[in-house]
Amino acid sequence: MKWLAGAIEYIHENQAAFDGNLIIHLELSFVALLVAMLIAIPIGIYAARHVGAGSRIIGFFNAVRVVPSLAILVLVLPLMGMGFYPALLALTILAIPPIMINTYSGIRRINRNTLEAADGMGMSVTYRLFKIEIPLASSQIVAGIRLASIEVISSATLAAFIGGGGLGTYVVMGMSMYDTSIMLAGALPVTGIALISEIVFSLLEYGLRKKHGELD
Amino acid sequence: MTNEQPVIQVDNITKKFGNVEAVRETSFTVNAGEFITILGTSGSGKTTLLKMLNRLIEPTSGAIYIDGENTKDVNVNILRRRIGYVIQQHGLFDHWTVEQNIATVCNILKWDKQKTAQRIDETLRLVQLDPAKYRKRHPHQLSGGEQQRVGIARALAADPKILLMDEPFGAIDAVNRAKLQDELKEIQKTTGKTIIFVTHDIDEALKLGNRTMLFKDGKIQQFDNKNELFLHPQNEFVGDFLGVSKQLSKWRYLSAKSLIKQWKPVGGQLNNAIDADAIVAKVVERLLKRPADPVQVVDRDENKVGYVRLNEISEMVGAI
Repeated sequence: MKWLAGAIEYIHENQAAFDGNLIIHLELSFVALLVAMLIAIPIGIYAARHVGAGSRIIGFFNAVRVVPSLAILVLVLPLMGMGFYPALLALTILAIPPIMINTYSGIRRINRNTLEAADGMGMSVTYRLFKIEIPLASSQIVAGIRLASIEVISSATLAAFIGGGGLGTYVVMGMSMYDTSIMLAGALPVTGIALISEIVFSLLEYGLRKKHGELD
Repeated sequence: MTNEQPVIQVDNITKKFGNVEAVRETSFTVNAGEFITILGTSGSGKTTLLKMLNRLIEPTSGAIYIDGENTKDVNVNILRRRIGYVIQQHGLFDHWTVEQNIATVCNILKWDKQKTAQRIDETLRLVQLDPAKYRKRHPHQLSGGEQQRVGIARALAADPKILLMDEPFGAIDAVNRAKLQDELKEIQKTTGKTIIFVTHDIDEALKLGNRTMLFKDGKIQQFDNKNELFLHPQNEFVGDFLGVSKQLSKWRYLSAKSLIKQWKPVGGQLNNAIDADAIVAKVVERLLKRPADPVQVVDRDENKVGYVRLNEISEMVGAI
């Protein structure tokens, strides 16, 4: 409790700096997630529709997933140096695999008969994709975004190690000063953001699954 | 206005998958308003044959004409929007409500909202579902039978002349299946649609079809009405498959009119009449209920009547 009170006190005393780091943290996470979605969803769709190339693409990104987040952050260093953008790039790379793999499997999982009915009624390829396939895969795509967001929000903490700023700054500072309160001033808000994002995406996913009758 | 041009003309089509010939040099024609059933075991090629009609599968050789037009010359999506299509299961779009599902083709064709809404209600009533109750439901909130009804409503929505049905009742329990069959037959009568219906169920094929095509090894074995199939099976396979020689099969499938050798013009009172198209079993049932009275088999189209008595029935069935 002493540490917690200390953390709150520290935040109050450094409110302006804390707000700045909070915004950087949110910005890093949000932009990384958004860019990852813009890249991962189209590639996931492409992979699902081209079986041969698709399994190789998915295999590659599955391998990327194994690389630890700190390693990706550090690998970006020699390429781009320190700062916000290298951190953003690293987080984006981190967020791509879960979204892509879920998009891929969400589309692959759609019942063949459903697609045949769509074709049989004279839907064009794009009409079917946007009106049938993506909506039916949406709950699984959202699940992928949920996983990626947790990963990005927590890994954004590590961005401080390569000078990217964000709430990780307090974790790094607290560690070097052996001050648990300062560390918690960074760690607790990160946990809170991660939890909120988990809850929001879980609700969205649940709503979609319920609508599609995937829960019975 | 009316011409004798067949609605569907299949001209010598063959479909090969690698070295396997699923359909071999098959030709037939279907006239407007016919209810055709294609009967065969799994692997007979019957579904392949059906799917070539709306080009879900492209024939390796041969041609298919719909209303005299080669289907290859029509944009495939435009062709399919003009042909209703119903499949066995999971054909409905789970993320759409019943009304959205039914409006599928109307929306692709960009009908105006009011016309579409009206059509949704019409087709729902046609398949015996209360529009107010069902319009906003999702497929997973429906029973299997209700889902198939919605599937049929959806296929009818844009008012196609032709309906293709691929074992639509295959996954429905027996009681509901019989009900759906009766309803479909009624719908076909009232709407005058041309229906091609694929099934592996003999009862279903003979009950629904004006004509039934027996399909095996990628070839038509016989394509006739059920009385012809029973009375003149063209090969051993047809005879065995239908159980032509079995008394019970005759009772179940043959129509009452095949019993009658001597017809008379209708005169006097018909107090124990049965329709000439009813199955023989119905005649037998009636005779057992009222053993003293002869059953009057009435052919209303030709205004003639024939009589069946209890002591003659066994002989009569034996003779056919």
